Amino acid sequence: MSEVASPMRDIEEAIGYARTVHDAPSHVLTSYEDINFVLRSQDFAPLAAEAGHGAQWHTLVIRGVAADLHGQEHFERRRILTALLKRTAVLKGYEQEYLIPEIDRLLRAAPAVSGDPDNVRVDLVTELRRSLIRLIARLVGVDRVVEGTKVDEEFESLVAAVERGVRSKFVENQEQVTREALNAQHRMVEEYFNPARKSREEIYARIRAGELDDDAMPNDLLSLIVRHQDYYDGFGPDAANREASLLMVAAVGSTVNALCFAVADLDRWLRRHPEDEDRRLEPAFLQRCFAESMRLGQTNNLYRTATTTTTLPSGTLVKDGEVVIVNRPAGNAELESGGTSAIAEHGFDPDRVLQGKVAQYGLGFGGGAHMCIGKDLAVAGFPRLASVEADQLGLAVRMFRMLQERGARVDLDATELVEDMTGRPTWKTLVVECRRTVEAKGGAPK
Amino acid sequence: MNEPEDLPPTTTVRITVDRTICGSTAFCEQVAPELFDLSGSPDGIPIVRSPVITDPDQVVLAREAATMCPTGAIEVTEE
Repeated sequence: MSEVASPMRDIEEAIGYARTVHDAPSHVLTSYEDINFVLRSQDFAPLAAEAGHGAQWHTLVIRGVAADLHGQEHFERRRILTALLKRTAVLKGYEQEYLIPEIDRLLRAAPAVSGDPDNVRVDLVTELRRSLIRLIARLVGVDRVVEGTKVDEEFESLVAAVERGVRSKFVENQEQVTREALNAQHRMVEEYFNPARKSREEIYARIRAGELDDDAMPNDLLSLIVRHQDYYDGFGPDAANREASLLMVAAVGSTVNALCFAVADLDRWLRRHPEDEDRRLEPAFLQRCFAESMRLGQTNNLYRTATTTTTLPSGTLVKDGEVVIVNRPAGNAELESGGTSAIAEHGFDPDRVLQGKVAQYGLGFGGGAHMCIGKDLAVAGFPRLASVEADQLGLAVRMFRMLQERGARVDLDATELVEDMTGRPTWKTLVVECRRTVEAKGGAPK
Repeated sequence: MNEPEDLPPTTTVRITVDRTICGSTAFCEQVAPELFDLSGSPDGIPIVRSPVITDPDQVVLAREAATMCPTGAIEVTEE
């Protein structure tokens, strides 16, 4: 499963891409020390049009959003968004109110197997994606999706189109993919965001008039945007809308894939190590499992542009304007060597201790100032918290645990891992059998 | 252990930085330069100027710095 990722995979392709698109000399970084240096440095910016390498189609989809910004602008945007994405703010009451009902909804519709109405088969790729769209729509404030009684397939298709647009730099037909993404963004805004935003603008006007208390505003991104409208307007008329659509896309796609990797990796681990079955619901164990899967599963390269001439720790000279390609699999694999792993094998090991000052997810969430802004929401305070209770887990690990509570077991004949348009291993199918409810005892489905 | 954002707004708190997971993003210094100093740091790990604080405004900033830290390296605990 995670082993399909090869540390040296796609390097030539990545170099070709960088040279073709940017027409600039590029360096592939495989040493963790160099990678860590670049990701932490303020002298390397995200690969974007303003870095001086000409327009790229995908920037039309992401321009002005947090991931596209650098330096002080990036810090200021992140400071605003962090107020929304604080784990404790988002998850207060979230499990009982939203998560459990969503997982119940997911399993209620699943077909029963083995003649037992409590045992079901679910394709996690499809169903978790729909669940995540509804859960993240709540975070963004897309009332029409949140209040809908069934999964909104139209919205799902719009999310997919924008997702492809974000990655259009990796495909030949960039223009077509980007046009489809921009159309999807436009429809998302017109049909889904604007009605919700209008209701929040009305609430905010009444708050400012003293008619309502401040907590009358929902705790979601569209409310945050309404509160900071002047700030967002400084980035162009649609920057706020792009921010909202990008949060939908980024939070859904990456979380589904990470959850599928975690479920698959733990399933395989337990088949090899049945003695760990007793740890299956331990919050700390599941956190480590999820982090280890993140390290092994998030294998796409990262790109940065030097904004000044810099010498890397290895001695490599990167000139102003040159592109560096961060080979995450190579960096992550290097962290294993010489470690104190409980087993002497490459790959998934929840008890692995990485070398140096590195968390178990390695480069799974990226690094430096652009480290994934949803990390805390996904995995909570890991690894800072020495011990963790179930209600302290992040959103993704909580969902992972819910599946374990229901005895999820992978159907090894119904899995398919493919490469997405960026070359990253991505689950196309991952069928599990599990129980509909937690209450039913008796171990995994037969 | 308390999460930083769970602490009451007016209290005495201790600020610590876990050197093993700090990512040197400098967000903490940008949020609260009076509490964190990277420019004088030899290794990119922020120096905590006042490890124990009581000023309510500073406590709020310390908590925000902890929340903003991408790696979760900053801990703000009640004394």
